[in-house]
Amino acid sequence: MAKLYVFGIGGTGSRTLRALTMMLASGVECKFDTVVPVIIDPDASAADMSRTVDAMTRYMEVRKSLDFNSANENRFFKTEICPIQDMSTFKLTLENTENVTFRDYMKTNQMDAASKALINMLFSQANLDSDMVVGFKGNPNIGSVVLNQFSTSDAYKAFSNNFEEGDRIFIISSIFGGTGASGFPLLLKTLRNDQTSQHWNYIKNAKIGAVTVLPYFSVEQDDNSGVDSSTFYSKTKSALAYYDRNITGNNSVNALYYIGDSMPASYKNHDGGSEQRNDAHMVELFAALSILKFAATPDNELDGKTQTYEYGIDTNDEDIKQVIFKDLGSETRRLIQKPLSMFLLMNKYMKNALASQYKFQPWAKDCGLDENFFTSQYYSDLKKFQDAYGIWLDELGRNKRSFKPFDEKRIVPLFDLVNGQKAHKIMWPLHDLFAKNYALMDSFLNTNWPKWNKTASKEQKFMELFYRATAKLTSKKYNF
Amino acid sequence: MEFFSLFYQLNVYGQDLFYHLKGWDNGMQDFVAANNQFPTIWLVTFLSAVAMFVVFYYILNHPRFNKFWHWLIALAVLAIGIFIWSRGLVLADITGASMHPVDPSLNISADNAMMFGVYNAVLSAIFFLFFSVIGRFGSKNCKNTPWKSLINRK
Amino acid sequence: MKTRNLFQILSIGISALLLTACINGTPGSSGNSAVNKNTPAVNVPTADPNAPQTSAATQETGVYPTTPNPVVNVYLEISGSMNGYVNGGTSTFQQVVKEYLSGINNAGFASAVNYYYVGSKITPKGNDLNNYITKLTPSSFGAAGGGATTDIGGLFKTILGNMDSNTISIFISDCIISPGSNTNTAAYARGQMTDVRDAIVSYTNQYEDLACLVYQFDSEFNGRYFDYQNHPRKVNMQRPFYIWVFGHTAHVAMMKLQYVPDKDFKVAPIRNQWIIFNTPLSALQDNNKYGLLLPNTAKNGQYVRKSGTELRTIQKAGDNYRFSFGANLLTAQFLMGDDYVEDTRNYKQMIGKAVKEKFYGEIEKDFNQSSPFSEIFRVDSDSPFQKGTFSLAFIPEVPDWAYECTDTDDRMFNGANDNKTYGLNNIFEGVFNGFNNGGHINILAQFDFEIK
Repeated sequence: MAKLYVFGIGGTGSRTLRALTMMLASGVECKFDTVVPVIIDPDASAADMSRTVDAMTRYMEVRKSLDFNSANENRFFKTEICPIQDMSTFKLTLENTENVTFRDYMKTNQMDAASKALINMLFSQANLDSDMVVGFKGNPNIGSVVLNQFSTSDAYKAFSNNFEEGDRIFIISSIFGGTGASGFPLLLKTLRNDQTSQHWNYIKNAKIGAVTVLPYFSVEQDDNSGVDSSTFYSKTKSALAYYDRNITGNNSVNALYYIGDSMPASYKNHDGGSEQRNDAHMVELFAALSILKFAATPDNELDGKTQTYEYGIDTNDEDIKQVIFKDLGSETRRLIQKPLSMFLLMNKYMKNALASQYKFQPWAKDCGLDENFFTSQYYSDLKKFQDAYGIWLDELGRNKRSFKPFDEKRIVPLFDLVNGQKAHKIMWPLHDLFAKNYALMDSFLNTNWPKWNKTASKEQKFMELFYRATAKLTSKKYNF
Repeated sequence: MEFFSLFYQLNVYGQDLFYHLKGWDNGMQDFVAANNQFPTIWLVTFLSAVAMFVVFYYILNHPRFNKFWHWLIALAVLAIGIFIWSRGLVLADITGASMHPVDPSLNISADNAMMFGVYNAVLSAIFFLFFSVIGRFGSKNCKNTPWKSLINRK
Repeated sequence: MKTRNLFQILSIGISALLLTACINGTPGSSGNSAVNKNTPAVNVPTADPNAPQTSAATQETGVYPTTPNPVVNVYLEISGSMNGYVNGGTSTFQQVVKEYLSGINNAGFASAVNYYYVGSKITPKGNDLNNYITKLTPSSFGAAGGGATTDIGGLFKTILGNMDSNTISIFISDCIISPGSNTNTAAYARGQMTDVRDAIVSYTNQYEDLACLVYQFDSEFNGRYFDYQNHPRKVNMQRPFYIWVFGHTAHVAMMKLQYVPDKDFKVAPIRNQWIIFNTPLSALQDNNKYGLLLPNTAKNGQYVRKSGTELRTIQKAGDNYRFSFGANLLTAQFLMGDDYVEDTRNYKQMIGKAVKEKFYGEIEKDFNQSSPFSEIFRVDSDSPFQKGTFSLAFIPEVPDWAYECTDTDDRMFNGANDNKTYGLNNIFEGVFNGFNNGGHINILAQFDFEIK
């Protein structure tokens, strides 16, 4: 089975991978059965990265207990997410960046005077004095040097060894940051030009897609910080020019997706570390959509010149403050509307009704879902994942511009959940007319499903029940 | 016709009331089919139990109204309704306010009426229980009411 | 139900018999028919100039009367023993007979009324009542040719042999059997009984339906009394005499209930009476309902009434086992009297067609105006009732008074036997045996129950 390797570079990469993970968990369709995320971020403690890694790890844990054969309809957690084989982590570690300044990294003290002079010209003193533990702080010039070691790293070796013909690669980066801006071209160059790794020929000819995230946030002005968002646009311009020559110009990437936002959100100015925790933004979500789009594009459409795409939403309001499903294009809606809603309904039920109902409802009793099940590791992992999903949606909604397709804090009435979408009243069968909110969910969960796999495990049955019930529910309530 | 009176054979509410309800006509010194109230009584009792069963399991079929004590509530409503109706029926016969007044040769009092109400209420409860057990498996939300069903399709 | 007009009750049943045009069918409802009504038609007796007139309306093929106007033939025994009853018109005997016979004339139902004297032969006496009875004096009998002794059995044979189903025969006699010179009085008495029996059987073999009604009266008797050894002596005291009425049950019933009812006897009271017949009650009355009572009183017993004729689980009620049922014997009440109908001696437990044993229990009148029953039967048993069929049959017996009025030694009247008739029981037993002859049991009504 072909795999899709997704390199997420820097903070944007991590956050986009987080969005991708959430979407895949909710069952959004991915044409590749396996996604292999690789996070490239020298900032070892970046909070965004650790949140993403947590989510992906928990995703894997939950998915371990599930079965996706033809007897089961469930698509939650359908796509496999796993690290590169032989690697225990999703992170690609960069060596020699801890507790060293850039100057020391480059070993300038070992350089001759001419080289030293060149260095001093190219890099400011501040650059040279900066320590890189938190990445390149929006300085792609630093990043480009350091990330050059990429191709000789163990991670790359492992990647190459496991790369097969038919696999594809996708690179997520921001064009304005430090790590992403420098990493993307370097990585691409390595992929296309390296001839030392094991399967370099597969890699060289593999279909590669990339999403370049244009500025969508700024940081508050802070003179003590090495990050200055006023430089974002200028850096973007120079990077785009470079791309035009060296990325799209020479067709080294098969598809390039652009996305940004004109109303940049403003975040707290943190250099990085555990405090660089930015709220999820819909741009990351849409960037993740490009991965799925790339996965769904057949090979023959990716031949020849680089395909370029730009993402837009479907609204006439340029200053739209809060984006909901209705404001998205039909293709996006078709892809994510139903799965995200379904997963959220499951989330809400697990949070607000399950504890009081599992002892009484036929769906739980008949599947043997008892107290043991609901205190198991599997359920705990799933619950934690759902909590993370809820937080992710919450952040999306809090942000400027906000993406708030759901009124996810609402407990009842449950089906006013989808903003801008009025829920239909279910009139038939009669008993569904009388049942409201979580009771209606119970009623759907209690359905006698046709083609029910009686031999499935409890974990599978639980997921299957909720998948089928929420699928039917969203269909009847919202016509999704 | 014998079928209906079979359900009322137990001598709990008074033999004279049994004779009266079966249609004892003192002038004929025999049971007269036209006065036999057991078919009506049985049908009302039986059909009420069926109706309550259908309402509980298939019309209401509510996931929040499927615990054991909810079923008991339904049973109680049915039984109380049948009690009131049956007792009222006999009292009307005793006072002569109905189409089947009690013959003075039969010894029937308000106590008999009450006991008959109880008897018929218990009978309706039995019918309800019977249908609950055999007919509930098609009810998706209440199939495990009043207790776990052996039929498990999951 | 009981307040209904008596005529209405009976006329429906009896008229149906009288007026039935279907001469080959069985009259009345199918009930517990004691007599087989499906015998083929018999020959009509040929006319005999000296024989008593029979109804001209006799049908050729039918054995049932088709006329409501029968011929009435009256036979007065004129043996010497009857002398003492007549005294020229004022004796009770003469008055009673005159009253009865004029009542018959007044009712106007008879197509003809013929008077006869009977002794060793039958002597027609025309149609004049006065000549026939009122003017009689003791010497008249001698002139009429009455001998000293009477062969009662022979007279029964004669009279019954000279009638058909459209005739009513009335026989007036003292009914004293006279062994006379016969030393074996017992054998003679049995012989009389046999003659009477044969007379009945001979008639019923031919005409099937028969009723025998007998009234007992007392009258002054002043004259010669012949004892059983045929020795005369002067006697002046009250002595009994008997008026027998023979005929089709329908006719006799109409006479007793309508034409000359008991209340019309004003001269002297009827001391005793008896009627026996072989038409089942079900043919005489339209309501033949019988059924178990509800066991809802202590008196009725403790059992489960499954239906009118089915009961089970008979439990002890007090000292013994009992169940109760009601039956309509209203016609019998009117014809035979309440006491007779409520006498348990007249009922027998049957097994199949045979008598099993006597009836243990009580019979009382049903005073409940709305019930269809006239009598309530309480069946008792010391031991539990056996499961199966319980049958109770109403079989009229010789009444007690017949035995009480039988004299076994009439050579002297000592007070105790003043009003008794020598050998009377033989006549009554002869009648009874005539109706219960050759294994046939004269059941007038039967009540069957299933005990489970």
